[in-house]
Amino acid sequence: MVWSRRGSGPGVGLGAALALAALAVLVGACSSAPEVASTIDMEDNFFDREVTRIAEGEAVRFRNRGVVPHNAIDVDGAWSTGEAAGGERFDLMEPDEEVVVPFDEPGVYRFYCSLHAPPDGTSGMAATLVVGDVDFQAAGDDAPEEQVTEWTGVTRRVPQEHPTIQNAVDAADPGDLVLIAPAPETPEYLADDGRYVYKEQGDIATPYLTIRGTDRNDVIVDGEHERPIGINTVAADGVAVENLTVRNTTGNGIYWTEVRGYRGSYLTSINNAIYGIYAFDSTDGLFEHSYASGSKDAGFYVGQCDPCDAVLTDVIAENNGMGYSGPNASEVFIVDSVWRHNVSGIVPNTLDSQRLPPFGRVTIAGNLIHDNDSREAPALGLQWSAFGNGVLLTGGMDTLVTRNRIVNHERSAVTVGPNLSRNFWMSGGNVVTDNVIEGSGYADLVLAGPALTGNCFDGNTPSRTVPGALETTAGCGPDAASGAQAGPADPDRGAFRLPSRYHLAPTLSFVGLVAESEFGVQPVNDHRDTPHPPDQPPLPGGVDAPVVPAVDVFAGFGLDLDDIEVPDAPAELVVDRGSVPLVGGVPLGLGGFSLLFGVLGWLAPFALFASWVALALLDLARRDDLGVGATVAWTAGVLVIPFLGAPAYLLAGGASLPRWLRWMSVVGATLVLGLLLGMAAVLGGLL
Amino acid sequence: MGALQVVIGLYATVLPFAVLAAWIAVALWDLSSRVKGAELGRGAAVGWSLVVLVVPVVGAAGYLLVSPSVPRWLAATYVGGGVLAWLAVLGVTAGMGAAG
Repeated sequence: MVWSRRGSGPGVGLGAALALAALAVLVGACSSAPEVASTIDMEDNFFDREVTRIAEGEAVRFRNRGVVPHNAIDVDGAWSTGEAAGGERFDLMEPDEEVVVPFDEPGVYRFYCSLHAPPDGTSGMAATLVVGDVDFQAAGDDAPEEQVTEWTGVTRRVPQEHPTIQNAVDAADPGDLVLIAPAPETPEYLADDGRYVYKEQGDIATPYLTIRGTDRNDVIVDGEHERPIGINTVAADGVAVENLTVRNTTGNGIYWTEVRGYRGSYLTSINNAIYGIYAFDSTDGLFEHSYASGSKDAGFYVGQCDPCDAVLTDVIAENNGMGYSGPNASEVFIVDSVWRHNVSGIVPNTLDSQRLPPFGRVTIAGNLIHDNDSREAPALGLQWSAFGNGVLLTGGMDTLVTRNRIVNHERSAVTVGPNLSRNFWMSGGNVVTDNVIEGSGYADLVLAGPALTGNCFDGNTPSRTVPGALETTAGCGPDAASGAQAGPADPDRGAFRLPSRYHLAPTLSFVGLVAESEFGVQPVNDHRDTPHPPDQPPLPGGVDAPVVPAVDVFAGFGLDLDDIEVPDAPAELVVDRGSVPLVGGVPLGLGGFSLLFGVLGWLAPFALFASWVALALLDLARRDDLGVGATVAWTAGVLVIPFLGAPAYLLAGGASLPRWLRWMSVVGATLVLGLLLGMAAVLGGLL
Repeated sequence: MGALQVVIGLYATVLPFAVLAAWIAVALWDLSSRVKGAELGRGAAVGWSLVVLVVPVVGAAGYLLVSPSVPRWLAATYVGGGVLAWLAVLGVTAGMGAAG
């Protein structure tokens, strides 16, 4: 599961915090800092309100409540959160970071996040600040654009006719083709590695364009580790991007947001810091025949859409934090693709920092998912909690995982579990069937608790599950289906399903991974050092391929799940992970914090509770001062009242055991265990 | 509702193991008492102990039900009550949608 964190970052101890607080008091006493009149929260890819008003001479506090970096930059360059914090204009604010910006001049300030909106702030993650008593009229909604379903026949060539991609895009009309040749071999296009690249960010506001490279491997948009995005499509429907490479941005490689209709084909994303190929708050899309590596969050990302109506097919993600991340993205189809050597593989998840939680009705089918337990891939701290899982469903509903080949994962092939964001999201109704699984360290199939009803497992032939015998006690039944992915009935599927079959140990193990990242045990790899891939297959037909705006993409794709089969194992794929020993579901040998939290958070409390029940029933059996009725009543109370029945009897039921033993067992042991758990949480940076 | 869901679902998960632990504890205590009272030889006690400890669930429950020193009503309360309590909590969890 992916756990969001709050509070100070690692390295800021109590002493430092107190010193900073004392310094703040002193500074406050000696200066006239402007009053913070309003707080603007930065959620994941939107500011929490469109318009904020303050008086002249007041200040605004910007607070990042998301799980990825953001910033706020005035479109006219008057201010930015980076500069207000003493840094550079485009500096990013990490999650939980706050920056106060004072405003002495009245006016209307339009501002944007450089990772998630175009620089003119007309769309995407942008908002308005009104300072002082000035006239301001919020703009109304624009009339919808007329849909363009065919190429206009106009080709705008870069660099032959337009010196930059941006120049061509700005000149284009809806339905045009922007055709990009390799960058000229002149010094201004020369990159550090000797390649000739476009050193720009393409901001696309014109709908229904097709942006096409003439050569997937030689047409390169390079962020030079300075610019946030390579190709940035914001609120422009129907844009297709094809046959080119984007690398070295500080944020996203190729990005669509607030669009209906998008397509990314034959794209290569290399070492873009946060996300590779990315669609947010968008519907009706397709990522196909594309490759992404070297991103700290995810190679491929679809977020905040329901229904997304999105397909990922024939894509490769390797050496990323996550191969796929899909916060609050429902009705996404991830099929026939390769996910390998990432920190974790395919991770649909639910976050409160985005709209539309939880995710649901995702289909993951026909994928080759292997070796997603890399300690060499770059990852944000938060992503480490997902380490070592092929498929990880966290806090989502009605998702189908079927006919994948899932091999070599230090943790699990498939884990269904909860997600702690601002709310606690449990998983339910997820169906895991007919996957070929080998080489899982912790377990092939895991149902981490707490969980909702309806999660089921069938036909995966696992060698180990947590809890045990999941396919027997949490079978899917003949009508196994998931949300919108209903399939034909299969009478061979086991129908038996206990309503309570989850296990807490893996959940605590994930807490241990969060502690590892907070404690600094997590490997830290610079995404810029991720090795470049070999040349990738080009767009068939090249410059002469049909030009088709991204309209009705999902319906036009014609996905047929019945045609999807378990992919063959490549010859070089060798099963080389062995099972680690477990004690009560707690893994031995998967990291000290996982063991620590597994023992203190699961095994010890469970053993303590079991001892209370045993002591209570043993004491009741030994007593001769109670009648049959009282004994039966107390027994019922001990067993039926959740967690409190047994301690209540031991402390107040007149038990014959010595008083010191009863109080030590119930109160003393609980306090000591709580203290130890608290100390572990402090040690692991969780408190 | 959410927190109650979690508590009830969690209880349904741990209750059967706690009940089993209690059955084993009571059975071993009873065996010990019977050896002390010379009702049972050491060899038989060791054999029964192995059955209680090694045969999952059925060993401890079976011993309680057949032991002549455990009153019938008490054995029925512990064994039957344990199973019924678990089923009852499971029923509640299923009704609340709180368990997987």
